[in-house]
Amino acid sequence: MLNLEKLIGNLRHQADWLGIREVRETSKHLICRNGKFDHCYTLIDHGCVIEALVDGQFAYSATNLLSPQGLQEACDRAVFLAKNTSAWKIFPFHTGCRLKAKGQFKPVHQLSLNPTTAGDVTTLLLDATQKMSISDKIVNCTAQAILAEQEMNLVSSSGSAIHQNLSFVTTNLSATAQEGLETQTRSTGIPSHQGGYELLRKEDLEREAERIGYQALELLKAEQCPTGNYDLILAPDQVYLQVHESIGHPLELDRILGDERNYAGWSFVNLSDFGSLQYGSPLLNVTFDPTVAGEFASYAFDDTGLEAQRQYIIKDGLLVRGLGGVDSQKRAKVPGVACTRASSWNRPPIDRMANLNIEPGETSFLEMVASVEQGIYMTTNSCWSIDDYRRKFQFGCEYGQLIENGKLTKVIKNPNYRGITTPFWNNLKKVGNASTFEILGSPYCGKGEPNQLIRVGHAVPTCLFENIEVFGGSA
Amino acid sequence: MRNEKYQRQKENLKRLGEALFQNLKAHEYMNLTYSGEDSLFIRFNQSKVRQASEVIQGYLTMDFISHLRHTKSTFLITGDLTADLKTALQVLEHCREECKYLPDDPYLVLPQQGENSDEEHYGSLPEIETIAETLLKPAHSHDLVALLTSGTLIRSHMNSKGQFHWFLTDNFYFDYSLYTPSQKAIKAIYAGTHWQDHEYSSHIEKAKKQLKILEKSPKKITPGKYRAYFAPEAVAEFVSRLSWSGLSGGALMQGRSPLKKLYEGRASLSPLFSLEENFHKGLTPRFNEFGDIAPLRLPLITKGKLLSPLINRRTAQEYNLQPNAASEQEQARSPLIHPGHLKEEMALSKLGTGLYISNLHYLNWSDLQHGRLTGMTRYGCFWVENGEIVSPIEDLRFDETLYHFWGDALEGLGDQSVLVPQIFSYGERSLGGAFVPSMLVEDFSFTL
Repeated sequence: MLNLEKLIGNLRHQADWLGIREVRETSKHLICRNGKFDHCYTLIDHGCVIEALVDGQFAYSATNLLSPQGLQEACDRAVFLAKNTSAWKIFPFHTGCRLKAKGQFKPVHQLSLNPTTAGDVTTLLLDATQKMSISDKIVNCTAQAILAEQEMNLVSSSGSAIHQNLSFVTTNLSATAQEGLETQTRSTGIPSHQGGYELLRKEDLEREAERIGYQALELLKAEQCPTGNYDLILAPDQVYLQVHESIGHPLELDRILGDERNYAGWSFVNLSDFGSLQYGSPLLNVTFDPTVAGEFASYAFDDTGLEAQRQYIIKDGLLVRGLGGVDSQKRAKVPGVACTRASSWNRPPIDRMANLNIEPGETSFLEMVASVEQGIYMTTNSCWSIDDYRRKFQFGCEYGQLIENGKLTKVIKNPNYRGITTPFWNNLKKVGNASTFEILGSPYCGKGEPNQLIRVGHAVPTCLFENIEVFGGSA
Repeated sequence: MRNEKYQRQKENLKRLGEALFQNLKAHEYMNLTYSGEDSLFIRFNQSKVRQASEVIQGYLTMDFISHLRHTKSTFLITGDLTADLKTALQVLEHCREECKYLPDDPYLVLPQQGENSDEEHYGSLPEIETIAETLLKPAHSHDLVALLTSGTLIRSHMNSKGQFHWFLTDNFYFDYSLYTPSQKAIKAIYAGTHWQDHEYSSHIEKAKKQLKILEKSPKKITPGKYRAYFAPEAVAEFVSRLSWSGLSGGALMQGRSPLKKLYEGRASLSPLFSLEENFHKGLTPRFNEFGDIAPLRLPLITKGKLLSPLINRRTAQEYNLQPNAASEQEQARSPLIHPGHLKEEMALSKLGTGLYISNLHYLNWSDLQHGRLTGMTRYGCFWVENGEIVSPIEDLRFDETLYHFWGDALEGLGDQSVLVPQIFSYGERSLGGAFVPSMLVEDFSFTL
């Protein structure tokens, strides 16, 4: 990493405030299929972005030319851009938006990628694809892992100096079964965590591989998910995406302010709704919590240097706080969180949801099932779609089961459901206890112009919703 | 000046490649793929500048083969040949070492000798000093939300068998929405290689006129089946979703394609529907990551029958198929749907009574095996009665199979295939776009 504190002192500029953010990330993506090697890919990414504040306007210049001259040129361009757009600025930002901050963040469990890593992990993945292949009806088995090490340094002309050092692991196992005209896929989803090699245990991968292999075969023989209104129990690996799409995105302050209207979309939430909108039933408690050890989007500071803290976003069903960093908080005049983040060195930071969690409730999974007379249990997301205001959604899952008279019965295929955001969350009738709680995440949250993919974390329990429209696949 | 800068960059890249290839040992092979850009991005909201940023980046991907083993690394290069060679040699050593621990690759694709290519499309891009004023003055009394993207994109490929491909293009797009006070919007894109102020002004004036239709109260449509007209921008969303894995030979073999029924002959599409890869416009390079050059025209679906999916050499080896120079991901790079006979000026009268859909949003497969897609209407969509627009509509969710809307229910296609540019910029800016006509469909299912 560069000596940014020295470099920023040597930059010649006329900015009112200047920051440099350096990101170095090495990621490795490994794939095996059907007991054979498929893919070994490494990305070594390293660059800096200069953020300049001139006449109330922030502008950014990103470069991978990391010499003092390269950074000086980037600095000059950032100042030039800010100067030439400040007459049309949307808001008069000021140095108070970038207060001095100092600190470090380095969780205990880290990866240490080396030339043997790919071979070691590939051996685990090959083994997993063999465990999935429990029948000749399994026509495709894929096992993949993405490992990433990231270092981020941030310094500013106001004296900030932040260093964060993170490691990420994402895995995915997937088995596709075919018989006659029927094809069904069962997977583990994309469990994603911060940490090291302890997240890649052979026995865990083998157990999961066998499970999804059997369940893919079960789905070949399964009945179609029925159509109608049912009580719906969602497993954590579906709840996390429901939270992401229908709570996370609509509560991003930059969306509410309209920044995303030309791409990701707007929001049905208004600024006046904070403190007054009953977003869900009183059982719904949602926190922004970047402090959870091992969760995918944990950090100590966001990319503006704001210190990250746990905050309630929805308390007892009531909307209390938005997902917006310091710039959006100033514009919107509502409370927010430390979530101004960029996907890497080559994009400016914007409001991103980071870790957004549902706090566990008091009901065990068995108690939840026992409380349902006629219902559906769905697990592992396979399809997601929601409108640009984040109201009307439709989700599909890989694997479902009927619930009849308080018991899980037949396996069903192609389970889907649809609804509208606030009525749906107000139909939340039971929230799973800690035994149902899982820490999950995704590396693939897309947003922003220019586009950015970023890591998000969601720790959630199993949840029961009442009277939801469900349906199956085509005949 | 700019031309000289990029010629130097091309020469440096060639010399870097040659130096690396000279370092290869017996039984070692290498493909190098370069992707670089100098880009300006300005984001607008409420006819003001929200964020302005620039990026200079250049990524080189080293695809390294040693005996039967294979690994790939992407890293940044700067244009300084000495520094870049030092970095690249370190990456090469890492690849060599890594290969010692990897198993054999059963479907190895070795570099081949073949034709070279060199395409450069210089343009005239908007001036940064005045761009905010140029863009915002014509829209100042409106609520404009937009992204201006402008700059130079380079893609290159070379291999240890001596092949060299180079593709450079300047381009810009101004992707914008104009909103009414009641939160309805018109979406448009002004894109090209030569910026013209007067073209931009007339573009935005046209959008402002269309905005007036949206000022009427929106009609709430009851879920059900409706006759629907889809503008090219909406059709491009279907094509984009299909392009992801739908046309991939590998995906078909592995049960991941919605076209399996079509491939196996258990279903067909309308004889009106033909889709091909078409590189005649030169918007995107024809070479792929393996150095293969795609044909200028590659028919994929002709008159409703699947002739061939997209197949790269790796998939071809695994499944014993005929390759057709598809990309590594086997996604369509320059798709074109053949136009039909529906005159655009007759679109509303042909629709009669039904829905005019200008844009779609967030499509996903709700039942992959049956080609069923769900998604939302977005921006300027209207209820039409007897060939006249009555009012805008509240956004609707649809859930419908492509075997219906490109099959029995396809009544007609527009008489022109128009370019809908590919505007994604995840990690780097995309190139090209889809050439698609409008379409008229019977009994399209709207569900929420």
